[in-house]
Amino acid sequence: MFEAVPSWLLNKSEKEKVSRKWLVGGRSDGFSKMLFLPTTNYKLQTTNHSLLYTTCGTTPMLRWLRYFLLTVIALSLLGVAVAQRVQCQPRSACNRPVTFTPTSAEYSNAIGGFLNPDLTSPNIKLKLKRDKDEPFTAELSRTSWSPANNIELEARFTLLAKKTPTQVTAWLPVSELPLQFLQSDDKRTDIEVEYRLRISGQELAGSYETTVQYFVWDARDKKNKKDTVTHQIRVEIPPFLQLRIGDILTSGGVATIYFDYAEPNALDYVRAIENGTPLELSSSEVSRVEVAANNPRGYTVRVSVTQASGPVGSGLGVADILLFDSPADGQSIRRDSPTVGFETLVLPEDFTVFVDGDEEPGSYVFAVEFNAEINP
Amino acid sequence: MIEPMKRFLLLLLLIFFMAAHAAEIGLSPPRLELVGRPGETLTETVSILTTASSPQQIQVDLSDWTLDPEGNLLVLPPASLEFSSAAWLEPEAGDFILEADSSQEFRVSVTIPQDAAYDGTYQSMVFFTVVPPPTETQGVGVITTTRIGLTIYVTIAATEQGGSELVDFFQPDDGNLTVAVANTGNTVMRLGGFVELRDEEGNSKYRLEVPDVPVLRESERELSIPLPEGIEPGFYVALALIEDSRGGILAGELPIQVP
Repeated sequence: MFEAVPSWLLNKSEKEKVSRKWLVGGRSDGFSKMLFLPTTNYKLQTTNHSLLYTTCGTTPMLRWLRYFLLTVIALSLLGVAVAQRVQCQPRSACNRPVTFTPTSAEYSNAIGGFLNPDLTSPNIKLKLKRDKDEPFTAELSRTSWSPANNIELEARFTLLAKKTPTQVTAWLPVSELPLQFLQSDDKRTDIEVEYRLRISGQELAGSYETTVQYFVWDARDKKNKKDTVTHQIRVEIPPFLQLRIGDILTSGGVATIYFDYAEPNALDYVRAIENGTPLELSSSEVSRVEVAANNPRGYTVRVSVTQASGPVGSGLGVADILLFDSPADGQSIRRDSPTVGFETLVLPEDFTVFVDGDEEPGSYVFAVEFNAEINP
Repeated sequence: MIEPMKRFLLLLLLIFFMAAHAAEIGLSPPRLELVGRPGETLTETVSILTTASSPQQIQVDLSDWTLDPEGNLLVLPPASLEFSSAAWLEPEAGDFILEADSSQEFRVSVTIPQDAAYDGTYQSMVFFTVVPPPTETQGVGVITTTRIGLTIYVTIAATEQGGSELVDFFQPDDGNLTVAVANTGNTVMRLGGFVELRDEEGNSKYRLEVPDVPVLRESERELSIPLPEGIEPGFYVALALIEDSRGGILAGELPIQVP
């Protein structure tokens, strides 16, 4: 058995026997070991012609010193291995996920804009330390969303360093590809991270998770001088359904598709009768009808047509209003999966009018109604 | 042919009114699944939203709905179906003004009758209809609407009963399999699971997911499951393992020939 002993615990004669260099110790059972004693001496005694290190007794003070010494050695070894250290500040902040759990209203309001984390989310602050004032690079990436989704995460950094003035970066997209957000040679940089979601309305409803990783490295020595820190982000996207008429050109709040076959287009009407082809629109104030639904089971849009006015006794009625070459009234468009953003359902030119010559001249007005529901 | 031409030298003007800015409406969430005890009143809030540039009048009305065996949605007048919850619903208002480019919260209350005769799941739909402003077109007094539906399931707690059955499993054509499932319970169930295609040696060759679809209480649903594109011709045994969201598993086997 052997143990390092501070020299001040040794008496004068003992100190004389101690070497301050590399020693080879051996025990009677054959054990041998090389020790390096930079600051302490050893108490030696010889027994049966073999060199034996003996224990001087383990007082609490000695035990404390031993731990201290080991800690110093471990830290110095670690410092050699890792030139950069990146840590969450405090460390516990990275143990909790950053969460986005908007209400339906918050989510709806954020479409086309952004969502901020919940107020209860931890503030992510990073402490970046270096052993030398050498340039280094900090990168950010995330894992793919689980389950898969098209959520757009963005981050912005406030960089507080000794040698350079405080900087606030632009909002940067956080993706699976590493994003370099800092190059610096400061010995210590504090980084405050802000997150937000860019909301397009295309996000699928549900609960999602990703892990964000910060990676700090020295371009000149990637083998040893790097460090990482990670934390989780959780997002809840509420379900959503929206129906809209695209690109309205009128200012009165009502958009119209016109089938105007008065002069000078009356001959087209006659040709349509002769050829048995429906009339096409002559002009439109509607560009498209669109739907967005992030329901996993998709949506159904039903079309209904009513006649609002027109000459009495005319042969032109609801059944003659065609959509995709079939009577529009009662049609339904069903999709069993979510949309990716807004999906165009109907274009104005998809409407036509069937005529066969029994129509009374005059103005007709039909109302077309789109009913949207998610598939239950 | 001359006669109609003469007549139409006068005028034929057909106008479709489709809601313009007024027709833009969104809803979140579009489905509520409520569970309560007899006599209990449940209140939920949904968001009605728009990016329209002017205020819109929204009309609120109720409907029943059901699914046909192919899963198509059928919307019917309120309280017309046996398992309708429309009579239990009380929307916050019959109509309201939705401000321009805004989201507005809207409450819907459901009071479950104190009647032991009711059990299981009931459903209905609340529609939000955009009432367009009057148009300036001469001779037109048309109300044109776009509607969006809020699907509501109400389940009476502690009365739920499960039960499902694989009614049929067949190959309607060369490219599809059809599975018919009956929900004999009194709540809505959702399907999952898969159909595995095994070759003559019993090796699993293809695995087809069963879509996550609902089967309403005491009803049947036929599911069409397309065979994989480019499937090798030959003999297979199709093994269906269908999961009922209430815990049951339905199994069926069908020898099929792929030309």
